[in-house]
Amino acid sequence: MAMRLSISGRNGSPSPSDIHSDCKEGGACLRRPRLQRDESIADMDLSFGEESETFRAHVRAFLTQHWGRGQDVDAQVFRLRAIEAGFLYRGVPKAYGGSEQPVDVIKAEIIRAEFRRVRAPMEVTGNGVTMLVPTLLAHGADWQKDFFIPPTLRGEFQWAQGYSEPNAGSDLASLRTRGELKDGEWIINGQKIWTSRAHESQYMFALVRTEPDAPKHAGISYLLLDLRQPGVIIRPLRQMTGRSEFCEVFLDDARTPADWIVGARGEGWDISKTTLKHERATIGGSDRSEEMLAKLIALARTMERNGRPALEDPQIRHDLAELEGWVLSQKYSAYRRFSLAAAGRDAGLIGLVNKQLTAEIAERTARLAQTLIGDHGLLQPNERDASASRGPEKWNDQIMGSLAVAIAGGASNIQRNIIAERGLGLPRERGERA
Amino acid sequence: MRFHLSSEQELLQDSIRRAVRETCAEPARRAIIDAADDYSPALWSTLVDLGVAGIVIPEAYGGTGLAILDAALAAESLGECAAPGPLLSHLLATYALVRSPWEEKKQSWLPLLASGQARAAFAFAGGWRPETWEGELVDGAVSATAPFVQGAAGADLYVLGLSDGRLGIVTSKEGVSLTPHNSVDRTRRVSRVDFSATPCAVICDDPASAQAVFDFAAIMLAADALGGAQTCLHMAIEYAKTRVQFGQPIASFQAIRHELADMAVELEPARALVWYAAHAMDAGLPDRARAAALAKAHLCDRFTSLARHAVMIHGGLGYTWEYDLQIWFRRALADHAYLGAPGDHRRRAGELAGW
Repeated sequence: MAMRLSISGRNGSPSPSDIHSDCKEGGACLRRPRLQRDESIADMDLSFGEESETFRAHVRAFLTQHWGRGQDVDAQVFRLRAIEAGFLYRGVPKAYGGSEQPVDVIKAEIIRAEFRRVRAPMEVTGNGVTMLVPTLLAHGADWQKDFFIPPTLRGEFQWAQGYSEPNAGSDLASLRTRGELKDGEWIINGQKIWTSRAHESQYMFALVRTEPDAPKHAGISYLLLDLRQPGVIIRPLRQMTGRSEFCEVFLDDARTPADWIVGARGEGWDISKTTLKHERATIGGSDRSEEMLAKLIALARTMERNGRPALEDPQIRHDLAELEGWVLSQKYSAYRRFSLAAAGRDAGLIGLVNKQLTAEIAERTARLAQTLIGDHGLLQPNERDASASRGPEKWNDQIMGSLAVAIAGGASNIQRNIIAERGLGLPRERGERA
Repeated sequence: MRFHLSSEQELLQDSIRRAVRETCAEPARRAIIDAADDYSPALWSTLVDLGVAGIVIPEAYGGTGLAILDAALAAESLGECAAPGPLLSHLLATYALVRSPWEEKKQSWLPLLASGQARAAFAFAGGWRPETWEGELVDGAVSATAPFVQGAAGADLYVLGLSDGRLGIVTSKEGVSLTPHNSVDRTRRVSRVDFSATPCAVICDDPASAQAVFDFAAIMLAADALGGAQTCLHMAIEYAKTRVQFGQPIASFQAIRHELADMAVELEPARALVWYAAHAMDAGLPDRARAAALAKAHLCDRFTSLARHAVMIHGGLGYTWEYDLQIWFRRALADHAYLGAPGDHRRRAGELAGW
């Protein structure tokens, strides 16, 4: 069966005059628009076409030849071959170490899926590739692109994002770290916080107040700096989970060359909004949620309730199916966003709500996990890399981690502001700038 | 790979919305709500002329010949407008007949059902799941009570769910008596229908057809709930933008904005779940019954939730009979209750998943 139709009126499309036509009672109404089949209209289709499958075969052949089972293959050597073949860094010009391919979200998705299937190395992860490189491509000086982009793509330069400060979180533009230009150098003083992996990074891209007399948003510049200097002190913050992923960074007369500024002075706020638009859409937007649901079902098989596997408990079964309704909504909404992106259309509201939906699903997963693990909830999980085994109490990591999902990248109440303003067109509150 | 609506489908929805709004503009809709029955000849002929009455009937039988997904999109638009009348029941019955291998019955009835000259209703005795249907056929006649039937008043034929997951057709008035209930949803009334030694012929004797009709029903109710929930959000937004307190629209207060944002987070992703469930039926995907069950459960919960939030944002006004929001709140109650509550469908989805 197919979903093909058109609506034809006298002129091919209905108008109010068609609808108010002079139909005779009980008789056929020729002028009224009527649904009709139209074989030329594309059907909804969750498979990829023949051309795409040919491309998939091409990617698979490459992976078989150059990755095999992944044994004895150097990841860096493999990445260079994958770039040469046009599979990685497709949005980055060849001159800077990318593969410079035309935008094709379907090809990008096939590459992602096939690489993931055989666990082949993908693009280097981290802020450098996802945030700094697109920013430099859009606003950087030629020498900055030459100098910073290639080693960042190779994973040799790791970057920390210096945005949040102790007193500038949701109201980021009120940041106070200041930079003064003296004798060909920026002298930077202040403090950054929640800086992911700063202790493992060599460089930072930072928002710094360089124009103290300018209005709030217009006084900020986008500076790059080397973290390996006496003026920079990095202190990892221990998280609720017991681990450290983010840091405090103290800048005390930290120095960076005058030309390590991206764009002009005072343009930093707008420049920081640059995002990676190239082939960003993916149908894997619910992979994590689906994986967690599958693990919850597996957990429910092994945990007992009233002397029987928890999976046989009617309430547990109900709650799992309820969670699945949320997860599948996210899954098929990812298909929808992907399909719109492939057609060159903006996702609109469905794009804006996804972060909040992810937080909602993570919390629902956490609540159900708490019920399932019961007494094991009293225990602190062992470290993942420790030799000791991890029992059901390992879910405490997910239960705490679900909070991080809701906070990182804009806490839930900020997300609600964004949805309200950009998605629903509601007026702003005084002083608020989403 | 394509998973968004075509411009033709958007046009289909737009046409239905416009036609229903014009036909049912006040005071016409209020008159229907206050009347003894939900049937409006004007709206029926509008929907027939658009091709909605025969939307799942193949063109060879005079229908529009569209897919389940298109029928679901139509149901969404009808839910958005809270369109009154027997259309859902009619579509469920026509879909059952479409699936029948009995050519003669199809030839004689489907063209009449597509042209709106005849109206059909879908009924069953026993529980809502096909395997619990209770009507027994004895010497070509059935005696059974269908407790809740939409569109019964004025129905020219019934498609009746029988025991063992079979489907029968009743075209005789013999032994049929109808008792209208006082329905919570004034736009889609329910009646009790008693069949007493009423002539009945089996049109589908494979349980798969009964299951398909039931899945189709779940999808149509999910789609109706999607449209209704959309209207609740829309009405709440419009009200919040225009209602002024403390010298500013209440939409500028964060408490209201956040409530509206949460409503959008509930609603917008659910749209794709409805599309998928309908597409899965069209494409015959193996998880189609599960998808239909989860869609019915999830969407009816979302509609209920959004209807509640919308009333809260309106305050006392939302709680009045005069204000239209009650029409959708009551429709949400009916979508929730009819053919199994969300918890029932989740239980079924769990069984179908094999866990």
